Amino acid sequence: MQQLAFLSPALIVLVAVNILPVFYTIATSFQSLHLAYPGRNKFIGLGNYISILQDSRFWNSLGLTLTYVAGCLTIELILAFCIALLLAKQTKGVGFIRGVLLLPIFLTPIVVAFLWRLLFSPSLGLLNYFLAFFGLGPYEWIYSPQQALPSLIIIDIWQRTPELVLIIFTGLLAIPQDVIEAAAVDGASPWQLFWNVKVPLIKPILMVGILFRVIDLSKVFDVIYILTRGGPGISTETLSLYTYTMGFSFLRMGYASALGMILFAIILLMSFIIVRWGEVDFE
Amino acid sequence: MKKHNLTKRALFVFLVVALVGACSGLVLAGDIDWRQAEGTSLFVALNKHVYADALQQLIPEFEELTGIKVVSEVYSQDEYMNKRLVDLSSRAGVFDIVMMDQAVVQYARAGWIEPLDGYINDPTLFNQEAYALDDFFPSLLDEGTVDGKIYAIPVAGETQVLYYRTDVFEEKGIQVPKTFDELYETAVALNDRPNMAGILLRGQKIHTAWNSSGFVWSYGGRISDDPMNPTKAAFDSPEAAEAITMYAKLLQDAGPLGAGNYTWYEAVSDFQQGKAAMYLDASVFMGDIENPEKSLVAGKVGYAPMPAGPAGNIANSLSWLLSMSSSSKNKKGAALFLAWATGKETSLELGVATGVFGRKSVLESDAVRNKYPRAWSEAVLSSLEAPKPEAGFPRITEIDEWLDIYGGAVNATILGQRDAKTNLERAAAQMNKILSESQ
Amino acid sequence: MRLFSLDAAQRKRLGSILNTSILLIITILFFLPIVWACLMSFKTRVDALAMPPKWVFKPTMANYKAVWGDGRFLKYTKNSLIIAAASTGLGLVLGVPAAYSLARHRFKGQRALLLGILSTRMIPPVAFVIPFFIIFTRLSLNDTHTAVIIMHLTIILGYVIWMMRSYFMDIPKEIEEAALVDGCSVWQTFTRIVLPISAPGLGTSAIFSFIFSWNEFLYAMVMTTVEAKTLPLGVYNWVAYEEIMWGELTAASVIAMIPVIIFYGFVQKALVRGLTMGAVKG
Repeated sequence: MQQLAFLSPALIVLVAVNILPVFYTIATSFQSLHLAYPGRNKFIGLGNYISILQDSRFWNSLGLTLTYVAGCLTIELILAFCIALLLAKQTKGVGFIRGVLLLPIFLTPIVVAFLWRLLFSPSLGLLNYFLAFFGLGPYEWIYSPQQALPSLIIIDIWQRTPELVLIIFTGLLAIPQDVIEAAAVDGASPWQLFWNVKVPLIKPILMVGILFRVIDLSKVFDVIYILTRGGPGISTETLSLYTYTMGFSFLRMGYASALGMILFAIILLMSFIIVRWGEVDFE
Repeated sequence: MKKHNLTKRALFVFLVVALVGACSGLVLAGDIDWRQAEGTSLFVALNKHVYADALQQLIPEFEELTGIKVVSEVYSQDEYMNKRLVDLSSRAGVFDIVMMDQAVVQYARAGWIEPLDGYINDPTLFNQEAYALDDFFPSLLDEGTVDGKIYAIPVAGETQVLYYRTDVFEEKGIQVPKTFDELYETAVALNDRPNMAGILLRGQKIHTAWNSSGFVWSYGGRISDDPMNPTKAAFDSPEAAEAITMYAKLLQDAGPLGAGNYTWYEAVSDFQQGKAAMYLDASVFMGDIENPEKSLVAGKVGYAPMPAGPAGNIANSLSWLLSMSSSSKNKKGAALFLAWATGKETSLELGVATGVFGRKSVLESDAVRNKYPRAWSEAVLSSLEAPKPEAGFPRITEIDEWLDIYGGAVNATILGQRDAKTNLERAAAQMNKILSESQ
Repeated sequence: MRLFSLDAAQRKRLGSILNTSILLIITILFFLPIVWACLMSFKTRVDALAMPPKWVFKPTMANYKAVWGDGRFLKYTKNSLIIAAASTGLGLVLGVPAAYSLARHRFKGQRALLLGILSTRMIPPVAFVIPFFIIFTRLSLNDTHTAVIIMHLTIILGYVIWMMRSYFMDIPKEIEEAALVDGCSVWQTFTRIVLPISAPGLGTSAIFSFIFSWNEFLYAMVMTTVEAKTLPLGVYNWVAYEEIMWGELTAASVIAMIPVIIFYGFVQKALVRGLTMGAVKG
């Protein structure tokens, strides 16, 4: 009984604010709802979903979303491992470096977006100015369809690699010293030590980090909305952006709801795979 | 004090006239009763714009005149479009007066904004003679007219003009281009990237739509089949393809780096920083380009009408407009606000302060002509008086999809993804599908 | 024949210097954009966009004066504080007891329930904003603090439950059992014994929730008009029709960052836990 008293208020609120709106969105996704023609709204079953499957712009946005997630994750993981390994070796000033390095994670997305808009400016930006010293560039960054998505990936790398650094670093610190010494005695090379000993030992923690990264990356909206609105053309229009444009620019709320549900399903599926395959144990 | 007395006197005169008028059964011709909605309040929602900032400054005068309390808020564009949609489509009724743009058809047909003819024709709200509806540029007034009814009143008209650097032109001994072919040659000749681009044009998808429509017309093409009630896209013609090819070529061969995502933010900044020799865009940016606090090129800029194509020079124009939310709970007060804000006096005051206008009398006034570059006002006037074959934006509810699809075709051409003909044909097919579904 | 012969100690020292330098370079690279924004907030407009960039310039406080002098900015700051405090408070009041219950009792379907709660974090905000927009319109809740608080609660509640559950699991059961034996009720044990011990966890959860709400952009953009507008949208005020006012915009951004940086200082030790909803204990 007492257990119920502790648990139920939160559950009731969760159902009210999380579950019901999801069902509402599902219901809307079966309708033709267009905001400017409220009188014409009708139930069309799977109509929106069928149109989406034939919508090349949807496939484009899905591909971009997956590219973005995979691109960010891969580079961030590699970088994070390097930095974390360096940090684990470091004896002096670890706290300071960690503190400064992690700051970008907490910055307001709108600030991040405008900050990078400034850095990316082809004619007045800092990045092209610095790269010119190395004989590189000038690049067009978010102003070119080929470079825009990589540019957005760079922003995420800047802002979120520290998150993985921290998680890997925490994992590395937790490895008992005797395990490493034992492996060294067995004549393991540094690479073997890393790949065969350290990585498996931090895998449970790492998978949690990857899970949260994948969830947040798939949902990405703020920075892309402020920086490119999905452009140039539709070269950075991820699924979130496409959903927003459909709903709040084209006013097709039914179609947008269906897109949103597909995105939700994709995130659920990816999370499920990571939890299963990564043997994530939440205890 | 003096003003207050005047108001009082006006009120007195009005009362006398009203009394006489009522007795004799004549229609009133005197000034309207500005205090008829005293004690009520109004919310004025504005999009960030020099006009909006200047209007905000004057609002205390309206409050004093009418006794209506006004809350006004200026939003940046991205945010504003969102807020306006949320408030009006949900009929929340927070906004009474909204600043309107090309979405006017969508808002009017959805019933989110109020037709204004009834108010304008009501002599207790609008003094016909003093208000002089025929003083507005017809092409701008048309922007706010949907299905024969006025839904929005133009306040900040803009038209395409050519900005050029007089110092650069003099130094190189170059003439101001009069045709698109000359424009192209000049732009290429002056192009010295990355120090200085030959020409700036907006290249970002949505932003190209309005700018490139003027090109299409000047090459003899059309955007849609019926100017007032489009049912099919017409921008897949050979003329339009030629126009868009020129638009793209200018940017590819003489534009700034990254032109494919240039909005006015980038374009104006670049021009202010002296990073381009010419800039073809809306006339409203003159104020910022001539502002020495922001611009390194102030005083070194010349103005010319948009160059001509094979069918002449038909510059596009647009206007920011004011309209009334149909969910407004204070429509009388809102009508008074429109009468005041778009009336001759306030318009002139705003025009002198900012250089924006919806009325011809403002642009032709000595105060405006003496304050702003003469070449600029002449270029603007000649462009606005020339007839346009279509409205600045197609008169359809699916305007955002048009901006996206048609603008996307222009943008893709700029980026060198396929040629203009293919891009425009594909876009036209998409647009036709949407238009036929909405019938 | 080797040019440089180093003994083990020297090699170790060299390695350590190398290690430090690489780390320092990386840290500087990560920090540079933030420094650049701070510098820009003290620049005049002409200096701000000057190319090549000006590192030495005459600083001006004009941008900060302009931002702070704009009465709206103060209002948005107040709104952000109210919304962040209220959604965090509600999240804690509702979530902490639930987390305690989930930490102490096992029941069938608990894992499914926990994963269900976790899945609230997977809902894409763009999909969520549509039903809320429609529902709040019907309830006339658009542009109220309540609307934004509810929307932020959708994320914060699940977050608090997961975080606090992990902290409660760390507390040995024996402490509570002793209290119960001494005649305390379950509620008394919870409020007098368990909560004080978990103060660091409560603080961490509160700070992370607060920062989330403080930074949130999309919900606030769609749900607020005037009265409930929050700080991130206030930053947008400095994007004008024809230009971005970089000086004022960066000044506003720096002000918006201040509480985040202060709070960030407090949660240094619990960062890993906070970022993984309690799943990784640092």
